[in-house]
Amino acid sequence: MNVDISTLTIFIVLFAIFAFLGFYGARWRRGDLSRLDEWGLGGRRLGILLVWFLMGADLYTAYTFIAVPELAFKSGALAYFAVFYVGLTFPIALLTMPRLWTVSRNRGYVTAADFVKDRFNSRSLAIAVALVGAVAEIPYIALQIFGMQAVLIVMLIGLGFPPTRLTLDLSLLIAFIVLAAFTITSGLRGAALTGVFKDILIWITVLATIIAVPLSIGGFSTAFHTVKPIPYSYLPPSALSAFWTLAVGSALALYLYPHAINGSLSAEDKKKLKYGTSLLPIYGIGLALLALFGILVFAIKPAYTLSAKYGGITSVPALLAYSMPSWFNGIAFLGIFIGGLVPAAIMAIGSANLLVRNVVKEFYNLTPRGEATLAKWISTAFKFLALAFIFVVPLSYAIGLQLLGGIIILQTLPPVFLGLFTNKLEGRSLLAGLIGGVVSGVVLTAYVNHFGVITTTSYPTPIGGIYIALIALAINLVISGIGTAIAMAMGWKPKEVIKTEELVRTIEEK
Amino acid sequence: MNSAYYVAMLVVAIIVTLLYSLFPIYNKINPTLGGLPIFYWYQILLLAVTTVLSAIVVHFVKEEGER
Repeated sequence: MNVDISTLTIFIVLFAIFAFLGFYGARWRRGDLSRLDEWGLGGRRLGILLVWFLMGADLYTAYTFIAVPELAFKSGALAYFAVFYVGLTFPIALLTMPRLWTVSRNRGYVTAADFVKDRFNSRSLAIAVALVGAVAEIPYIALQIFGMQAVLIVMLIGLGFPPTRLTLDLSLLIAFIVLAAFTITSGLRGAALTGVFKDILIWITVLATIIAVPLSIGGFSTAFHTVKPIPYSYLPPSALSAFWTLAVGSALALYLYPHAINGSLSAEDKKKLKYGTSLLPIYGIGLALLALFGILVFAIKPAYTLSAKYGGITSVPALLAYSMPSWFNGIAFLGIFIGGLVPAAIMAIGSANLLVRNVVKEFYNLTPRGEATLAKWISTAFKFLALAFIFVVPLSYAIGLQLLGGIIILQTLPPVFLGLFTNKLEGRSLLAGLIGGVVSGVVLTAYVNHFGVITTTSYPTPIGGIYIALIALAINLVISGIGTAIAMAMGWKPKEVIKTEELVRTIEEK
Repeated sequence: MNSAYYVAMLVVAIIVTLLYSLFPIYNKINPTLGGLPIFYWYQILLLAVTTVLSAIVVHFVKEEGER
């Protein structure tokens, strides 16, 4: 295994630089941002490229490096639902985010809950949307901790620690402590410097890995000859419905997550948002190739043995460890590690801000200082919740964490996405639908897993498995629709708080 | 009318979904590409197709007030 002291040294040195930039980035923020602006102004093309580059790296989280390859390792072709999902999610973002961006710019919104509050004239609906958004991020954060753990497992084993329960727990502990410390020291304001450094490392990792690894083990033929055609080369007919519904459900859900909406709203202008987003499916190619690592790993015996021991979550780091030079593994491991660390920190901070802004402040008056302190505490609590999640969900199913988050967050689709196109839905009915959707989603998930550890998120039907997120969304839509029809029959009329004009173009202040 | 962009993008989303739903075309091994079954390379290729379709709509179908 090509993991030695040079791997560890490079990993630690790069991490130290990363942490240093994060700490000082806050001070240099102003200067750095203006430089980024100059880059952007260097030409419209460059501006879009930069947006594309920065947004794209955000796609490479533990989901891409760890969870999807794990699914490929265990279930083969089914893992490619993630490719269909990435292909479809950006057209959906292009349908919704330009309008959300415009109305937020016009009316000073920061979150989707801000928009929902005005759109449907309902404080309780806005609070529910904020709560659901924050809760849905918890399993996603847990997934990132998983990813960091997977890298540390391989590194610890490479450095001579025996692959035992101790290695596993030690890796988890280190991953968690680093995450907690990073969120507290990097503060509540993200630093642009860290972001750029992180993205560069992630790109080096992704590009070098997907080019070098398949070459070093003789292309894909070797790997595909060592595995069974079904389910590794293509899907059994019984899995088609699960494949399709997982992809469509996940694609509809992604741009409802607070972190994704945040990213879109921070775009400089609508044009850059649209061009940048339209070019993002290209990034899915990297995700698609990394997913294949779960199958490539079958061609390298020791890497396979190591991955089999941990249920596949170590497919990518183990394959790297056995096919790349040890110094490179230092860079790659750190890339995957901060690929989990940064999103987890951003999600924890984002969720905490959402809870303070759209929930706590609805009931209490807070000083700006009190607000920041509270958000810090809540973001720490979130990480503990994420850690608790890891103990509930078996280690062999990391992607289940993201799919569980999807079931919950998809229930905010009617008020947020439909709300961008119509106000003819009644607030209390939407709230009832949202609650019905979340409750049915959670109950169905618990039911198909026999109220035990979560191993599946699909509901068995005569035509095959159906992703529970879509079933819950159907229940949600039916409740919202019937409720609105009853309200209308009783004389309710939609209030036009937000003018259509404000959803379609930026209105200059006079 | 201001809805041309949204109608066009909805059409892109539907086309993409349909192309990924044509299981009889790609849910098999042959033809392979560099050792990769068609199941995999077809879906990767579609990512490029999706990018081109979305970029065309963004570039050519402007919303009202957009230059």
